[in-house]
Amino acid sequence: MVTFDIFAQAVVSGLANGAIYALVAVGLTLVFGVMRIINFAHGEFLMIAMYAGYFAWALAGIDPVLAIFIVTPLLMLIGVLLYDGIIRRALAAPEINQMAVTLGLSLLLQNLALMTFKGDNLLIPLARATESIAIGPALLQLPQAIAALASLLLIAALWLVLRLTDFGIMMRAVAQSRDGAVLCGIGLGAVYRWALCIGIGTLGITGPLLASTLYVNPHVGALFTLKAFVIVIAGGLGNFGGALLGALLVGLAESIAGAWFSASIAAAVPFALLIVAMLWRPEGLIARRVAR
Amino acid sequence: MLSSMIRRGAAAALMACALSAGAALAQDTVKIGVLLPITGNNAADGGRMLKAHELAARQINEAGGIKSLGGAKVELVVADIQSKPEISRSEADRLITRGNVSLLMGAWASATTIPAMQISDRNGVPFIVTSAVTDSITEQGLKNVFRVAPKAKWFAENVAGFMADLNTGDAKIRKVGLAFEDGPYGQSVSKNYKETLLAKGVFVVAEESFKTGTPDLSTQAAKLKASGADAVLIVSYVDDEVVLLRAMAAQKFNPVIIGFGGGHVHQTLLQAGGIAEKTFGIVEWMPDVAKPASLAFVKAFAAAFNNEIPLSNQAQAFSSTWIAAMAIDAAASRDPAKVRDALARIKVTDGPAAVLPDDVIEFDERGQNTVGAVVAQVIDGKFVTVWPASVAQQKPVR
Amino acid sequence: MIRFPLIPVLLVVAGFAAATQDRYLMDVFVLTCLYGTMAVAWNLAAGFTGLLSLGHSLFIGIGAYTVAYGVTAHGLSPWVMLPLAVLIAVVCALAIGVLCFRYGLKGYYFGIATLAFSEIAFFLVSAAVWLGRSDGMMLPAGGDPWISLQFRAKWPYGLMILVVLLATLIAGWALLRAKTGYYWRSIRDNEEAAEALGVPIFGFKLFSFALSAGIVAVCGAFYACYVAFVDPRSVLGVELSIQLLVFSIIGGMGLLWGPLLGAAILIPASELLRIWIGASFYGVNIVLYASLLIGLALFLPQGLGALRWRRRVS
Repeated sequence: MVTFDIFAQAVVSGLANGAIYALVAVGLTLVFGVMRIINFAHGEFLMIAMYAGYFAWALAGIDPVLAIFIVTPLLMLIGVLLYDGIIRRALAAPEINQMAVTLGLSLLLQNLALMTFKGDNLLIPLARATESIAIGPALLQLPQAIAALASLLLIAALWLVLRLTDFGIMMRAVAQSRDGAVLCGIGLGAVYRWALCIGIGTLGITGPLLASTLYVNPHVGALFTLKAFVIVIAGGLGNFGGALLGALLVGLAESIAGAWFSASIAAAVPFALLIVAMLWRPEGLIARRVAR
Repeated sequence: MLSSMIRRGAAAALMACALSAGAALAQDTVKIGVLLPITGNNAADGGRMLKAHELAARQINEAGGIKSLGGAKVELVVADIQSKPEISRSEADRLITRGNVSLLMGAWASATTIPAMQISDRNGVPFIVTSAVTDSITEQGLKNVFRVAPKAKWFAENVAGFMADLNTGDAKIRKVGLAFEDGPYGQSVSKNYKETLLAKGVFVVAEESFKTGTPDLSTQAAKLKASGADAVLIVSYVDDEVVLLRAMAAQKFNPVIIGFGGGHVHQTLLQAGGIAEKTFGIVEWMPDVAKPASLAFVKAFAAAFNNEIPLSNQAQAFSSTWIAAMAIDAAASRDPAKVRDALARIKVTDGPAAVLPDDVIEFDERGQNTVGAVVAQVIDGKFVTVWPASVAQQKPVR
Repeated sequence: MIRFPLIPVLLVVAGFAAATQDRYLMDVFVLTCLYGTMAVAWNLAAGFTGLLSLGHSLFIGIGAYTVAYGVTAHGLSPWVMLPLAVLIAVVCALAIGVLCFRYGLKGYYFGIATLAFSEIAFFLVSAAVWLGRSDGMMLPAGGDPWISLQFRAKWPYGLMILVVLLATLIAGWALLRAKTGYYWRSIRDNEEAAEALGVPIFGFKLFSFALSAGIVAVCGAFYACYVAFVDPRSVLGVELSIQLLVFSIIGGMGLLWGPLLGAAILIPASELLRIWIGASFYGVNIVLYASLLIGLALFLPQGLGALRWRRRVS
């Protein structure tokens, strides 16, 4: 039953999903890579960004693409507040306690959102939601195409920042060796604050774009957290190229498996891929990039 | 100083009075346990159903309470089951042992209902299943379980009946595609769809499943289109249904679309705009169902809750609460065993409980209420009942 | 160094005795002991051997599903299925352990790998028709309750889980004070150093992980009998694995009975919060619970169990 056309559609659709996953995972890989904190609340910050994107559209009629420029600074600010309010304290606790803290934070944010917005789904109905671009026999919906493009641009920009700026060098130094970086006179606090600022800030781009392809509710962010971890680990901590590759692979694998099997079986495939990736390339898919 | 102490003392005394008065009142009430997801993934639905339960309780009390018990007031004892099966079971247990309830109602989805109703049954407390549709709930022979909601397989029969009525002239539905959320709800309903439709000679040409929260469902839409289905039956929560409808519209695929239950007939779908237009939905109840009790319920609900329009599950919750009160009244007792026997004999033909589309509400020997569903269509951005003809507002538009 | 956890044991027994008169108290007791046992078992691997598993729900699910399948599909007694459940769980744990340890997955990596295995199981069970897919399986009542383990009363469940808990505590105590315990802790503290000193780390890691898996499989089997309903979300979900971690952190991972303490505080606390305010305000109860969790994890890094010690030292 799976013809060439369907297969082509599965590939295009898988790449679109993958690019969106990359948009979620790229901030996580930065935070996880630099700070080694498993942030279970990453999805909840995505949820906040999605609500922000929704309200920008619903209250002020701002198109989600433009809303990025409002929501991103907001999320960056939230990242800084998160660092100074909670994470800085958590860094003094054992690593495993940090997991409990972010887990508590995830529960807290989900239920604060539930109290504030109630549980119903909110939609951003754009005329372009049903428009599409033809890629060979397959179609790519316009909002998904925009998100995929944003994903590539964001990752390229972050890669440049990390390669070319002093700040990027400091981040990479901390990611590779915390103690070494401190010995070189790098202030950990500032690097961590910036890592969270940018890591959470990237969700300001993801949120409005994802809200326009999907929907917003208090639990929507949590749907992406585990997948983002899979991508970050498979791609290698702090490795943006790896995160993109990992995300595209996850999206493709799910989509192609879904063309033949039920969605449940397809959902298991990324985890199987992750296990293979971890055993085969424990440092990440593009291991050479991480100078050891 | 002294005066403030006196004031405080007086306040304490007043509070003590108030508390004891409360205790005295509580002794006079009849307690009905309500299990609902107030937090967790289904919090929105749970919260909505709670409003309907509360409205019914208020009406019952304003109408004089339980007459055979000297006008005792109905008191709802509400427990949050957090959309989790083990918590639902534990809360059912707590309401039975601590809450002193005469009867339990709930508990949203099948996964949260099953453990709770088993506990209730073992303790001899009647349990009214308000909205869960899994067939097996009333096929276990549990003596204390009564279901107001229909069985999942009846929806399939209703859909088949509706499609047959829709088949006029040459616009016939011969092939259908199924699209469902790959979780408990989508899996069980779509399985029933498939079995029933095949038995009725309708070809099921595609079965596409998806996971909640997938941003792009174009592959599923493309496969449904390629299957040549005349109609697509969607079983999903409203959020993912919108994503699928968008993908189908982008593929320029416009079959007859029939959504399912509260996952389709939901305000969120109307937010989606044009793509929802002309879609059908099979559902337990509609606000415009042409029955006096139903219209009165909608009016009272809007008056009580800021012009909100109730959904199907709220009508079930409302009806269940009234049925519970009627059973307690008929039993003239708070004793769960007697209430159980009264429930088994109950027959509702009119009055506030009769909001559901069928003429009679009564439970068969397995505790199942025989009830059909209606079909609603989105016409000019509104849900309108179009089938069956007996309660329809207008004819289906194709 | 490791003393017999006499006070916790006495408290648990006293708790059982106190709860026999009240069904609801017994329910809270059972849940506390059930999750407490799972968390103590998890902590044997995570807290004492450094094997931070995030996929223990896999073994709980194996226990629960083995029993549920045997009962519903073949009418077999849970007593028959229990040894099978433990066997399957232990074999799976050994297989996962061999794979992960052979390839040197440690710390978070080991955690994420175990999580991946449990998620695969979750999705495969959700698709398996013979296991009831996402709908799960309902265990029928009936027959001799001591065979079907479907009691009307609560106390037999309390008694059973009490026995499992005490056996776990005693076994944990005996192992921790023996050579095994010292090997485990040496692996946790510095694997390379332990290996250099001749500790057979591969075998002892496997033993720790498999033992932990076997115990939680027993708990999973008990869950199936107690709740009489299993579905992927409640016995195979990530939330369950993470719950064990939370109990252990709050109670104290350095103590054998720390996770039990965590469960004994958090389970009644969430019950009380739910009863007091759960149904009246959307989510306020969980907001409070989450705040409690964040506060405890931040300000009591060694867990509540360490409070007593700190005071004694100072």
